[in-house]
Amino acid sequence: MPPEPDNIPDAGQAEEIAELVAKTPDTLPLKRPATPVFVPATLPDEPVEAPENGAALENPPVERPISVPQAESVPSQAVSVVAPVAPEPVSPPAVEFSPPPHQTFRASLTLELRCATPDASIRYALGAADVGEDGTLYDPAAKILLTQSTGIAARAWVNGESGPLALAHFEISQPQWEKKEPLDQSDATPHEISDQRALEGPWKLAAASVRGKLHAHRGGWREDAFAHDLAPAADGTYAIVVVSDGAGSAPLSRVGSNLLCRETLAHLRDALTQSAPLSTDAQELRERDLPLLRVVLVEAARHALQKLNEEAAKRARPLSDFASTLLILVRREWNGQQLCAALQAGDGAIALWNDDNTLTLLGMADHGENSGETRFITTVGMEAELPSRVRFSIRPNLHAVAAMTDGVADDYFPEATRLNQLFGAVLPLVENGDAPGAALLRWIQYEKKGSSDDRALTLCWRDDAAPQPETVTEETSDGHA
Amino acid sequence: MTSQLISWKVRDLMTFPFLSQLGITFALSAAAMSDIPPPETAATEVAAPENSSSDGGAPELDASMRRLPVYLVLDCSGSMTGEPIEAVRQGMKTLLSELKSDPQALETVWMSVITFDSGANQVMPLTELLMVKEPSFEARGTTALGAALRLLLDQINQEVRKTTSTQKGDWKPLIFLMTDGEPTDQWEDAADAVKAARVGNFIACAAGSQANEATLKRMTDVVVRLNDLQPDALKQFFKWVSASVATTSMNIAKSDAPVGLPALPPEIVIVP
Repeated sequence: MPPEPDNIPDAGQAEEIAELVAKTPDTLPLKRPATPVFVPATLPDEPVEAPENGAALENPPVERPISVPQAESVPSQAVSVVAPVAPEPVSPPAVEFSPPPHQTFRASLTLELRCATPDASIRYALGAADVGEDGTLYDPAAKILLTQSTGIAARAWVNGESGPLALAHFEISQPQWEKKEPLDQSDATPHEISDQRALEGPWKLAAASVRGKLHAHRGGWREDAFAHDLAPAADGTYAIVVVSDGAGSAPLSRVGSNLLCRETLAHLRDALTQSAPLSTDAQELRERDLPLLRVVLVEAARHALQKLNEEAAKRARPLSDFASTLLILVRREWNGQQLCAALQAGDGAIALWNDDNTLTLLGMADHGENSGETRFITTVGMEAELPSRVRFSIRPNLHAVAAMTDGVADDYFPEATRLNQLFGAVLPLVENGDAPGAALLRWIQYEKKGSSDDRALTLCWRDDAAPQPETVTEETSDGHA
Repeated sequence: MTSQLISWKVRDLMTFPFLSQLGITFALSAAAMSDIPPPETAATEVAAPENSSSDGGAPELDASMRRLPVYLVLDCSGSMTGEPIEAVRQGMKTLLSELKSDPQALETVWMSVITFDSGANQVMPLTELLMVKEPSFEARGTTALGAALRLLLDQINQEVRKTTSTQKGDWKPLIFLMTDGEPTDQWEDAADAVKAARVGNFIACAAGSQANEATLKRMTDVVVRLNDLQPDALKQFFKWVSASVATTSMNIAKSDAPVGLPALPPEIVIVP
């Protein structure tokens, strides 16, 4: 091993130390911060009793303990300040900090305190200018975990005799998420989009999608997409929403998700606009019209998948490069109720929110045993399953419907019991403002630890303040004459 | 298609008596579930999903929180005495400081360390990266690889969460095992059990000339060789582990493809 650098502080270090000492009383709080910044593995013990006599005489000469070998990358360096008062002969030397505090640490730091006298007990205090015998006893097995910048004062004790004060300040900073532009500028998609529009009758729509912080940090593209439109049929208007989430592992999934949304919407708009009127008879609706509607949804998904196959062939890339989920939601009025039809392939959620604040999940999410295991519209075997994935709901009291990718839905897992929170949060935003799209875009950028995926959320709601197309006749039972 | 759950509220049944005989599939109504919160709670909810991050102590686990569990299984037998075990200590420091400068790793990685000598010991249970303290290692004893594998399997079963109806599952664990010698205990059945369980992405490293690659091949298909136990080689190994964890945490976006690992430094060769 190369010779160790001398431990005697050079002129620069001495200056730094002097500066630290000069600053200490002003800059370091004397009390501990309210939030815990360290986690000792054990509670501070009672002060260790000094051994009865004799022990001090056996004090070995000051030497480095064998268990602390010198490592090249982390030199153990004294950053202590020797107190002006000359120490008693038996008092231990200053406590050393490992690693030394001459750098900025990231996120958190395991700090070791060492004293050249092996059986010295070390006490320390965080954010203090000095430490006495009431300080926290240092446990070498547990070490100290610092999770924010702090000053630390430490002394060693042998037989009730304290060594000189060692003071240090450890600077800890959090690594920051960055926002980078993708190097590959082909098939560019905006990093965030929002939209809003009036739908049929009192219904309105707002939608937003943002690039997740992980894609931003890596300089990737947003891979979520959505599309929406109205299909005016002879007997009523269908509102269509399509949402898609491109697989993170698929290099062209942003192309896949956008193409799927566009093509599904185009097919549905034509098919539904030309669709035969729905029967007002419940049985006929069940036996004739809903099965037809199911076929329309499945055909739209198949059409989009076919277009995606063509795109893959045109680019000479495998279909898996475009892997994406597909969520379709179609809604219209029927006999004064709201009829919803949904088709979901892959994860995400389609949810209905009722006037009595109850929730109905209309989608069929694919959750694997481990996170990240899901299926896509492009997954082998999915096409054959599509008919069995269509869901219907007819509700007299529908207030809002939402279709979203897992970047949002996962944050509300389990959806059946927590998506009510989402409606509770976003409905007041879109219902009470002039710019619901912008409001939704602001909201969808919420910060949540561990939630770094792209997000897309479409929301349709019944605006009771809007003029009603037809009045529902109701018996008034209250006393107004 | 005929086995779908059909449930809705009584009012719906009264409004649409025909629904109950409907031949096609219907929505699963959350309102019919027993654990739906009372409606009043919805009005007072916060504007963003709850974030039950740690404020210093043991964090309360969020049902929607997904973690990337990383298990390090390290040989601390007597043959590691001296420079090798010191290199492992330094390697651990490097690994932690590199991962802690990565915001994605900080939000997703949870780490556990299992060491083995004459027995196996989980010196650090699965812990959020921010709260990970450098564990202490001492080299001593023999090479109880079998005990280490059994403990690994037990701890993964206990600590790694599967997706259930109320809990989001963790990402597939990433496991790094390093050993420098032949096992001295009953290890074959444990190796077979680990391989059969397909617990995650398992990378085994044969370090130095005494380690047997065939032994490691019995527990996982991914085996690498570290040519010697010199500090430089071990340092490269830990740097590569760090890069692998960072890469995995970046690529956990949903996928049906296996995790790709970063390129190996010259000190490490892949065992075919």
